[in-house]
Amino acid sequence: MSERVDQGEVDVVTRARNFVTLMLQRAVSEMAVEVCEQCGKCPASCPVSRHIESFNPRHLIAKVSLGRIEELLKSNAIWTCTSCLKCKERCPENISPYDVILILRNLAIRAGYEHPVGYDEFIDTIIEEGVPQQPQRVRTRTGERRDRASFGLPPATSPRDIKKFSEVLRNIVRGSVLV
Amino acid sequence: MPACLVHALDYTRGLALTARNLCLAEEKRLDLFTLCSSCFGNLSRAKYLLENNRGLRKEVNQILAEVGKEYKGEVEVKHIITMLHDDITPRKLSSFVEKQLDDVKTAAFYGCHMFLPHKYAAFDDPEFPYKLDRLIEATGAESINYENKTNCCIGCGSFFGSVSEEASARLADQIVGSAKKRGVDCIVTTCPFCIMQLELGQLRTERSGGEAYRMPILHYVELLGLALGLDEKSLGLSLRRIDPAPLLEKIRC
Repeated sequence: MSERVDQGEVDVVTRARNFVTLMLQRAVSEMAVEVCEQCGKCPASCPVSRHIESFNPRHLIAKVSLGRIEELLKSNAIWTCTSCLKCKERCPENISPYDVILILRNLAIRAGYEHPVGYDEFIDTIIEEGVPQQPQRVRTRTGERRDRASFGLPPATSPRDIKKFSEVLRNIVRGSVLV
Repeated sequence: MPACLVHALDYTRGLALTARNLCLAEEKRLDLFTLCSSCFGNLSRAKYLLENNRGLRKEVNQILAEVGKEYKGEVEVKHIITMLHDDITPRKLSSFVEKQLDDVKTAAFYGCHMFLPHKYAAFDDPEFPYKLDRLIEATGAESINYENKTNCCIGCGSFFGSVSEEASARLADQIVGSAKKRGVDCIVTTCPFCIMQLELGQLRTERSGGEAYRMPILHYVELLGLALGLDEKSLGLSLRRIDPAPLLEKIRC
């Protein structure tokens, strides 16, 4: 397990994992809010909450605390966070709704719940082509996607040894359901 | 490699992907240097977590061992803004300026991962960042205060979801609108992703019958380039989705 090098700083990854695990256990025995005081600093800081009423990090943390994990894994909410990290910066209890959301996304993937397909496409293209988007396609100023060649542009290059590159990335990502 | 996407799917493996980039720099005994605030945030985050959490570092190094790599923790992560502000300093930078941008009024847009959370890179004040403003002022241009200076462009993390697309459109409109109200000539960012979001956001607003802001969005290095006397062609400004011609005209005068 982790050790605390910086006394004032709690290890966020382990803490988020522990929080979700603990809440999953709690869900079958008792219901209690662990450390979140529901102070409301996170929705007040959240740029998404300001525009999308149904997204509220405080509610999300409360649902985790109440063990309503499955409901969250099925919902759009966990894929709506933009990772601006303001909630993480401002949470007085060091809970970081952002990290809890990441752990929930990981759980949703493992449990086979739906997630935005863009993620897989993006990552597959990087692994196969070495760049995030189809290298021989470009987007025009008006948003239209066209072949580079149609503008007389030379072909875009990928990493020199794309075979080795793909193999290395595939190995690192292996274990998740992506590859 | 955008591990910013992979860590949404697998925390530790996402971290390992970022760590691989740190390893590549380590092997060459070089520091890592980025133009993008998300790359900077992601690399700084990996460095911070790996250096402050032995358990996680062990897990990540086990994954990296499969591809013959090991993270040792010898690399520094730098962004063009941290380098220009901390290593070169605005004062020195201003001594290189050939074309004072005296009449140019700008709105600084920080880009979340440049300065949040404070503990990762400890680069700027997390509530009232000021370093980009100082760098803008080094060119002679004015950097105004406006309500969305530290807002999020909603470019990262969730741009695949239909819900966030809606949020993104509204937010871009709000950010550009508030800058426009202050009468600025351009918005200056630290991140190519913010540029894309704020440009596309304006075009979306326009297409759906909203206001045509026509607000040029520049990366700081482009503003600096203009101040150093580089011509707009070599800066690639003519390729932008939003034509910066009025800004360039002002600088030529």
